[in-house]
Amino acid sequence: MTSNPVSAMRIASRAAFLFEAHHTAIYARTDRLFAVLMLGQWAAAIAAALWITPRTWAGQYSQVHLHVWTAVVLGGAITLPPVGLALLRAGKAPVRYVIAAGQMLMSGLLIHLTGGRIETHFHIFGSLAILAIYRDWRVFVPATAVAVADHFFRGVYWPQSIFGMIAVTPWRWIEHAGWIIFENVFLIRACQQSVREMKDIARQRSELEVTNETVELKVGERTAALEATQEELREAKNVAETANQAKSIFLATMSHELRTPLNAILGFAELIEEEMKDRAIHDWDREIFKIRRAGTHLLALISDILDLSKIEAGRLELRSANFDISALIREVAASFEPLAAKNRVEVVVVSGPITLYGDRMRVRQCLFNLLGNACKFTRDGRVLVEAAGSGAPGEGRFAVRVVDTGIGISPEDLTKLFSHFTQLDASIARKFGGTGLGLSISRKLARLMGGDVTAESTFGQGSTFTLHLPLIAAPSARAAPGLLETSSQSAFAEEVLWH
Amino acid sequence: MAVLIGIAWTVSIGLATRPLFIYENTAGMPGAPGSHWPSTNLIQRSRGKFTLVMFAHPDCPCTRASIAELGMLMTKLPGKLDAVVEFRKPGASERDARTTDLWQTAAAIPGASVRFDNDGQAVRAFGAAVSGQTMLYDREGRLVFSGGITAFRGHVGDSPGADAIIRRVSGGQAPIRAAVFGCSLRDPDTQQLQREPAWSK
Repeated sequence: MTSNPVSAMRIASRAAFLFEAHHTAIYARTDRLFAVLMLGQWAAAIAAALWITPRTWAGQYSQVHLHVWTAVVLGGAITLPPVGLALLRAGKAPVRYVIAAGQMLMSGLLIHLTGGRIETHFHIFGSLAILAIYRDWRVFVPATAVAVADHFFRGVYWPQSIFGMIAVTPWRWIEHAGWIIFENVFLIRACQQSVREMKDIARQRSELEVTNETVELKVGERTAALEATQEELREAKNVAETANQAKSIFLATMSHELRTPLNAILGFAELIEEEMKDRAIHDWDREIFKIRRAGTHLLALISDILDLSKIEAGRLELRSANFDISALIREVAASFEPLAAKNRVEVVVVSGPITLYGDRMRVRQCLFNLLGNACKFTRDGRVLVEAAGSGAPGEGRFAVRVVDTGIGISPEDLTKLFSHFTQLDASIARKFGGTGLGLSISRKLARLMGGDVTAESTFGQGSTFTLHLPLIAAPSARAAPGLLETSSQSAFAEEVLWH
Repeated sequence: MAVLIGIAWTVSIGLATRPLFIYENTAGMPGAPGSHWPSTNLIQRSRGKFTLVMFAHPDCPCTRASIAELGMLMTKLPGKLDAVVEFRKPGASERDARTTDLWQTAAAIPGASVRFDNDGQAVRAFGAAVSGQTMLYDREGRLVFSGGITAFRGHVGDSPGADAIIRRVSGGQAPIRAAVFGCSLRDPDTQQLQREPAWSK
């Protein structure tokens, strides 16, 4: 079971204890069994004497037969000491040896009281078998010694009382002793076998106990370690959340502080550009364009960071109202007309007039990101925008699918698509621009509104981004008839905005 | 120490059986049977066969073994002798005796007849004294054996008396006397009643 010497010693020690306890319990139990049996035998001997030889007669006079007194007195002398010991010192070795001897003496008495009947000799063999319950081969020593001595002395001096014959060979007691020993051989073997099995059981139980203790100990250790780790994790999480909140607050503050001078830079760059244009000076056009492009990019980046910080700091507040999502989609799509034209992309919008209740500005921001990406990463292709809803307000969903035939995304890149500042390839930033925060912010905003943004793509063939939004029931005060319209209620129209 | 006490206890038990041994080996009064069949018509003697007469006390537990041995004898010597079991208990009637197991067992033995000696005449005529006392007369009415057919009180099995009867009936020589183990057929005398107050009617 175990190769650990300490465990092996514990198992052996515990097994020895369990075996001893088990065997002692058997000794005590069998002692009490014999106490009852011997009292019963004594009563049976008296009853037999009263039945077979109640009185002895002389003419018409009689008196109690000596057999009755023998059964009472001698039977008591045989029975009471072992019974007393069994009740007072149950389980002790001498008790069972006295019981074994007493049982054989009772056999002799019963044989005599029944007139040496051969049937009563079975009491000897039955008693030996019952003694085997002790599972202690030593009990057969006093039992056999008494039985053999009884057969020897009575066989020599009083053969009729034990063999029912007068003329017997002086060695006949050996034959009787031989039969007793014959039975003893098998009973002793059975006892030894039984003891071996008890030892095996004790060892198995000991192994089980030690294993259980070890498992419990390890479970305790692991549980303590797990609790410690959980506590560390909780602390680390608290630290991280505090740090993140501090960072967000810092970024929100800093973004605001950065945007003010940046707006001034952009404003002054525009003034310079207009002044130069008025004076027909074109020497600095490229430089002024670079200043404005860099400033605009920086402003977009700061705006995104500000949004992200607000979301993570839990400071972004939604301003819900009724709005026409179809009109919003067309408005956003229209803003990408120059980019679509530049990339030779056909933009198709499939949507009927649908009124939603939500934060129009944040929905617009999500659509702006999704449609912007579709137009940005598609060349000579098509961008399809579908809007559809289903279900009742409060339970239903609304989805805007943006399907493009652009460059597509590999499966491994799809998994990190919505992380902060993730642009799948450094070359993409150079070629297509962008801050790497758009998708991350879109998903966070969608989730903040109870929806989500999901993506599917086949690399080289195109992508599908879907903005999921819940159909929220408008507050009754502001609700108007037909405020929430689902796709089933809407008349859809396909409109190709431009080629 | 415990072993010594155990051995002492065992030996004491063995020694305590001595009175029992003495009791079982103490024979009863031999009685005074005559050398020939008594001149009485109380019991019919068989002509041309041996005749066995056993006296028995109907309540004597020791006689149970004697009647059992008689059954064995009659089985071993079929047709060679007739047997009479004469029951005697002073003060008792034949009706009382008939209800005992001894009477019923004796009556069931093949070749044996059962009688009740109502006034003790047969006991006196045959000189019997102890239950189980058995007398064997030859074809001419001569007493060839008198004694018990058990070796100890109340124990079945081989005995010198039974062995002597078999040898006599078979034409051999054998001792004419053997000890008898059983209850007395006569009441105790006054001195004995005074000496042993346990006797009661």
